Amino acid sequence: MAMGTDEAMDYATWSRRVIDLAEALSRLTARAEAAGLPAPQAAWRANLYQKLVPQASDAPYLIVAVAGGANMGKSTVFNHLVGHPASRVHHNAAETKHPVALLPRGFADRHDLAKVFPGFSLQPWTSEDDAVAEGRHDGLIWREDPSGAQPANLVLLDTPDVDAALPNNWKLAEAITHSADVVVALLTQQKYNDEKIRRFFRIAADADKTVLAVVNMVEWPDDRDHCRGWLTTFARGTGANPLHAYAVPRDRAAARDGRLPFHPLSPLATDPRADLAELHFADIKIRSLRGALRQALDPDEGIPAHLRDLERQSDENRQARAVIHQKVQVKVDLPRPPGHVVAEEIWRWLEPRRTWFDRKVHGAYGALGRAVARWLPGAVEPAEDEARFLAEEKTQLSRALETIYNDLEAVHRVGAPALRRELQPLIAGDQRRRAFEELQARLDAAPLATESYRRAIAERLETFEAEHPRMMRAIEWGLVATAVARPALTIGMFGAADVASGPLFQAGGHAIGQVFFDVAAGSALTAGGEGAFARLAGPARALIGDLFAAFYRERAELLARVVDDCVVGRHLDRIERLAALGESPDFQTAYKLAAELSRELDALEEPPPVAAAAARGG
Amino acid sequence: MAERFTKADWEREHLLAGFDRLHDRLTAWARSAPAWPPFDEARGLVERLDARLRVPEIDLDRALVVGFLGGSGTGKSTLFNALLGRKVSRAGKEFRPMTRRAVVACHPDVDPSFLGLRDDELEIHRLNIPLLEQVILIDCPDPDTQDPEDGRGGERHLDILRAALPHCDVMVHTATSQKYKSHVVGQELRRNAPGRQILFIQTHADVDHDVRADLRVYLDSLGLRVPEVFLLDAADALARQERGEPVAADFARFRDLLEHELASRARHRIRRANLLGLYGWLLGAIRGPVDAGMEAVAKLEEATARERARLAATIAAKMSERVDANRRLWRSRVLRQLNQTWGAGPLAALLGAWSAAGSLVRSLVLLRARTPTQAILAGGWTAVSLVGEKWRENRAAAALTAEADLGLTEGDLAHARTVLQGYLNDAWIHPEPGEDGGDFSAEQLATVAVEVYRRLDAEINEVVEKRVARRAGGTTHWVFETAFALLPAWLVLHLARNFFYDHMIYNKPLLGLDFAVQAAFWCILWGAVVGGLLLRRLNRGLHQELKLVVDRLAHAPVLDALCRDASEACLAVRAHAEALSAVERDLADLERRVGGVLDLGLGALRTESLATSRPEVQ
Repeated sequence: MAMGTDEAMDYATWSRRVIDLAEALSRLTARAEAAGLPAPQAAWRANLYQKLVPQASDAPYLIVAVAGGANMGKSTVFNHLVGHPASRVHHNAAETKHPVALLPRGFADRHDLAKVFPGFSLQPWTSEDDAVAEGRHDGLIWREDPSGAQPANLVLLDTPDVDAALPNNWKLAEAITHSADVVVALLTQQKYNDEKIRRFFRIAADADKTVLAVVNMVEWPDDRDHCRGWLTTFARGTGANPLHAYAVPRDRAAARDGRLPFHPLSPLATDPRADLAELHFADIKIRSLRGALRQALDPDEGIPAHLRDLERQSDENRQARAVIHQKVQVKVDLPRPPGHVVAEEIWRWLEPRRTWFDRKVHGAYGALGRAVARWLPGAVEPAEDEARFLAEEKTQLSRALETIYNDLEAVHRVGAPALRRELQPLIAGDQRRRAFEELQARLDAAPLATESYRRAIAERLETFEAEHPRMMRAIEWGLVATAVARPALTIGMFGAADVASGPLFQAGGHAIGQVFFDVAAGSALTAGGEGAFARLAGPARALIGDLFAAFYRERAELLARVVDDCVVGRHLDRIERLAALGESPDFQTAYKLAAELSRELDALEEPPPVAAAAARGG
Repeated sequence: MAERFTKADWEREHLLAGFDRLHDRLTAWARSAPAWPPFDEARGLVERLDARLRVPEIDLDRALVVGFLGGSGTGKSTLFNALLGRKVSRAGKEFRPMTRRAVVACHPDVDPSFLGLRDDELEIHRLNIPLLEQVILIDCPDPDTQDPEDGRGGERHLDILRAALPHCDVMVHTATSQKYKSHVVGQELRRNAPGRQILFIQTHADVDHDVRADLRVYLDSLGLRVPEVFLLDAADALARQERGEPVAADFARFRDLLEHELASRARHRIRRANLLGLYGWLLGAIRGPVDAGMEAVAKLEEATARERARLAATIAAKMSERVDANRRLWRSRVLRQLNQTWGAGPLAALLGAWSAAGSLVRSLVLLRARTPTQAILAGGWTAVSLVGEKWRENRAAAALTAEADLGLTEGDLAHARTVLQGYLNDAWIHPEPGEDGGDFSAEQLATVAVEVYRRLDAEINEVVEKRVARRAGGTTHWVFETAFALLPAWLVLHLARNFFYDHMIYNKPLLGLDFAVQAAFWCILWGAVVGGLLLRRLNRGLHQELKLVVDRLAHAPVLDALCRDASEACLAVRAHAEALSAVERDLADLERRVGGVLDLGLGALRTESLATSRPEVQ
């Protein structure tokens, strides 16, 4: 059996792009899922992944699925089609929980089953009870035809129901039926016009699948005329035009023994097994592939709609990001630092660099200076100074955290629903308590001068010594002991580059909570040793500013980390990721490919003018 | 009125009064609820259901309304016809759906207008048969053939079903082996279950397997109580009636149950049970969100207590520190108290002089006292009031003092405020800002601080007074005065002997000024020793007692003023939620008196699943 028509060639050129599109989309879905967006549950996914990807390039076989509602006799009919009891028939409803695939002999050797039925966990058939057993929710049972009678290119499928109270059954049935080229639609007088059944087959018919109708449980021959009426209603309600139709009488004994008669209801129908073997494989395959592609690219429900939806979500999140960036900002006035911390570090650095005489002289002056300083009005013990600094710093940081929470709350009040949902857990009481406790714990654990701070000071001093060797004297003579600089500090979200003027240090190297210093801002230079600071020459001034900035950087980084780890970071990270989704290359690729394929499909579907006129004339 | 009230009448009136009371209590409860979202929701529900909750409805001597609910083709119309014994509603398998309007069968005397259905939605058959003297039968359209998306024009039979069912007292649910697990029908059944009884029937008994066991499991999973499932073949029953043959035993039993047991004998009971069922559902529906909300409220209360305890612990630690650091101050207070208590006496006079000298020092201390605590330890509240006018006048200034003295910083307050705000949001409690504070502001903290100082003063006063009264009472006074007086007495005796005896008689020289000075010196020394012993006795353990005072203060509800509004709102919500239990008790009481309808073989929604389904609301 060959598929060598012109149209098949078209599909060969398309198959590469379909696969690219599917790959881009699955990467996109994975990213969206990682960011908390639920995976779409639409028909296009089944069309794309169950049908187009496995079958677009090379699939010289037809898949025939028996589908219908609960307790309509799908398994019975399936067993008749395959000629032996392959799927358990149960008189309770919704018992078939897994699709059963009956493959022609040798099929498993020629094909990779995992690619033929992607997304299913494949289980080899052991007994007819496999289909009704509990087990994995995505299980698919397969067996090669033991008799060898099954046509070599025909795969037969039994499916779960589409209307009972187990939604997993519908999902499996929908997914597996999308892969089919031919659907055997089970109908009964009770269910042929049920809304769920109608909708299911309407989707199959829309995808240009070939439909065979089997009216089951018929009072034969009394219902013969009714059957035609039912089929008409079915055709009208679903848009399907069954290729063949059969009536199967209600006969429990015959059903059990596998000898149910199939009475043809359509003029060309003979016996379903014979009719299946004689199907025009190539035409059907191409028609169903094209139908699947059309359904997948449906502008309202297919991939374009999904991409639009993603883009909308992405836009929403970008807006949310902008709102947070604008609104959530806090300026912290850190307290005057304990000058001795910086001074001591400078002395520590100077110590090994001094001569013996220098050291003695400075030692004497130092002792004298300390003694005098103790009695000066306003002088404080270093320990007291540190305690004051820590208390004030804690106060300031707590207030900063309060401001952040108030800002977040304000954003939450006016935000878009998506943003509100995102922010809700952030501003809950438990979360706040954890954040404050964390801040407290980290403040308690952090020493005032850390190793990295020592290194930073040493580096800066060495650079300074190299640049201004003569000015080192001023440093040595202890001006630094009283000079204190206090930079302004801004904490912002999502990069606050526009919030501070002058040179900036970015302290928090984190994704979201970021801290910026503005050392040069004039108003920021206040402190106890202001006078001394003012008297310093430019370079020394910059040096002192830098040294203190390095000190503050360590402290502020603490807050930035807390904000990042406990307050917003991980949560707002999702906003960031979703915002980026619409600009990702995968999105662009998917968008381009979907548009291209849609255009080509439209061109193909448009009937040539002559044919159209002929159709009108006929 | 010459009516005679029988005992049954009295009981009936009593019962109706019980219903009246239940209704009144529920509406009163709903109206008087404090503003809180779950209560608002409850109020809305009660208002919407009010018409159905009113009592007179249940005791109208009206026929029992029985409606049929089941999938298309499950034999609703056939059963309807079989009960009436004639073909009234069109039944059969030619079309689906067959019944497109509500078909009402009633007695010629009954006016079915109370159903409130439009004329084009129903067809009425007035039949003069005995069954219809007791019941009104409504054959409803099916819920499963209408596509929610394309039910246009006259095709809205699902809406007709939903309009008709709320009027039914009893629902007859028909199911077949093909349709018993239908998802759509199950949802509709659950939706209409609150406030009505249900009879479950598997139809098509002659052709289908008996699936009642599985049907029962399914209905149970929907949250329904299923005492009995009838297995009937209505087509057969109708055929037999038309032929004039007796119907099958099962069908006869079912008809008898409906006509005699339910419709004539238990009619009122069913209506009452339905009403109680509706109340039960309503209270369950109210209870769910209230309980969920109360969890958040409990968390808020816990958080408030925790924040207060945290602040109280800080205050206690700080005050304890102050008590340790200012021993001299509180000892001088003991001395002052001793002076006031003892009044006259040589030792008292000496101690008075001592105290007077000390008060000079103390006034200096008071002037120097940096904090209110120090001042209280030294001089008490009055003294503080005099000395500390400046911080008492101005609340904001007091807050600053409190910050320094109570060990609470603005940061601590920001912490508590932010965390509690989160919990307040979680619990949907938004207290109105009161006139006199009650929030977590710095002003409120100042009020608290003043209160803390007042209590501290009172407690210290009490400790000192008690101590002086207990350890330096009358006897002690007498003993110490005596002990002290011994030396002066002996000296006086010595002087007297020297003057009257030695000098006057033996003409020995008088004791000189030297002796007087020496005597005075030894007296003072002796006084100091005795006084010291006394004060030692008085001061021993005082430190521990003051610590206990601080400890008591830390556990005293001084901080209740902080965030008082929220606590009060919590209490109001809690009290009102508990008041709901009283209504629930009323309902349980009434249920006991009405008795169930289980003995009648009627199913209904199980009580524990009441809260999760929504009724059809008129």
